[in-house]
Amino acid sequence: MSVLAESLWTTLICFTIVFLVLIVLIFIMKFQHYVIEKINSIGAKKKPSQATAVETAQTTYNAEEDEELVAVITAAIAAALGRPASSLVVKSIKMVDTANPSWADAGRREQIDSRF
Amino acid sequence: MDMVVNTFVQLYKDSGFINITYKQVIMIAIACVLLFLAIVKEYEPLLLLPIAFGMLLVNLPGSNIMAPPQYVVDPATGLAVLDELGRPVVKQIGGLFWYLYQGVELDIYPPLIFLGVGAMTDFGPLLANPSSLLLGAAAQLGVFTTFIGARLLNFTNQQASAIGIIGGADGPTAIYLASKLAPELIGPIAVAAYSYMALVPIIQPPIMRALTTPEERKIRMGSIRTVSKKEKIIFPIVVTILVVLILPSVAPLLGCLMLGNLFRESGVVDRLSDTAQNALINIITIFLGLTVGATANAEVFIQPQTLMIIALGLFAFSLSTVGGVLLGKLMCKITKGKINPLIGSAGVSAVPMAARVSQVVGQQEDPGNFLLMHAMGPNVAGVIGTAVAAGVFLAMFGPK
Repeated sequence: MSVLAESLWTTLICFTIVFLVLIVLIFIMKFQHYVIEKINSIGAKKKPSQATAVETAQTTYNAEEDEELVAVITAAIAAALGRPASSLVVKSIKMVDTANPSWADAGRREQIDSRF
Repeated sequence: MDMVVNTFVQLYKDSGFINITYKQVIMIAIACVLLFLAIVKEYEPLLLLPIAFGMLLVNLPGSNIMAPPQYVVDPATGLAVLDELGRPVVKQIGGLFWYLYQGVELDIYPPLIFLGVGAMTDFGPLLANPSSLLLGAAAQLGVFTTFIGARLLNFTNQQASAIGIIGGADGPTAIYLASKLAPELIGPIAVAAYSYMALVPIIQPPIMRALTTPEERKIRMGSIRTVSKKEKIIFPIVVTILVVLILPSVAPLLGCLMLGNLFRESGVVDRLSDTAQNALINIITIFLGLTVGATANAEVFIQPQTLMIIALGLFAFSLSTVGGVLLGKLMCKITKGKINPLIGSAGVSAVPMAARVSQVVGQQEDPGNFLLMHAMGPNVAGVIGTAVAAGVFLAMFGPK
């Protein structure tokens, strides 16, 4: 076989092997992504029960008496500032960030609970 | 008085001035040009500077810095005399660089460089868009076509493979393959590979512009998905198992690349990751650069075949760029304009220089276009592609 024909064959074989190996890698990567997504989605399905619990808690929390809420918030501010509650006047209470994701609220509540 | 004169005469006779050849003068001039490019133009200075200085030192007559050790020979048998432990008795120890060069000859340095490269590489963009691996494969076009060219110029299969791999624009892989298949050509191949890696921003843009339309260059590619930590950790392990099973000869290179990456992504061995991507790679770069430069001694380097290798290297490198961009165009057509063909040129593995070139050329057409992260996918794919190409050559032409 002439040098040209021989080297053309070699090139063709080598180039094909490189492509094949990398194509196999592409499938591996896609498969890996698919498997991890699946595992994550199974994990996510388990979590909603917790989320519902948080939501229910929040609803009850919102439905509480306003006066009680004012008293609690005043007491919290007084404790945080280290001053008697009688020296504070609560003029208004507004929900600052209604767009808070429920998981953030849940996390915050967990943090607070762990301290008391 | 005579003694003083004699001393000076002897000093003059021992000095390099009287022993220097015109070839060595040429090599010293080339070394100085490379030093200029490294220091003033800042072309890949981390490698070009030690390479150029190694080249300079080895071509100064009488330095014997690359001389192998000499052993005591038994005049009767002509064999080396052995000591009581069975080791040959040394008459004169070798030059400093000769000992350091054993790391190249025994293929120790290139995989260690890859360990550091792995620790510095983020495979995230590749994992986010696995099809960019195809661009990394297409950019090996130059490697294989140059193989044909070199064969036609009467290089052996082994030499042609080592010359072709310059097209991958991956210095450590080129040195690794050359030291395994064609150690006699390691000097010119390393100098060509690193010079072209340094010249990526000059060589690639005209080819990229010639092969693409302004509309194609303006294509915006949107954002890439976030890749989870789990994926990044599993990837190096899976790739190592799979590719080494297919091509065992590539184990040292790819294994070290992936080990370095696992250091980085696992997050539990930050100290090792830090050492691999800083201290270790710097030390090895010094040894590798100096000793590879030192292989370029005048007698070996100033030959017609060096010019041929440098010309073939340029051809290989340009064709690899062409291969990447053409497949990029094809993928652009198939995806109905979702892929910017400019990222194809990043399939040559000069990381991250080639990806930066894609970004710059894209921004010249549309300043608001950000291709860098998209180009990093083919860029790291190119590293894997070149390593696989080297593995295929080794499997076909390597020592059995």
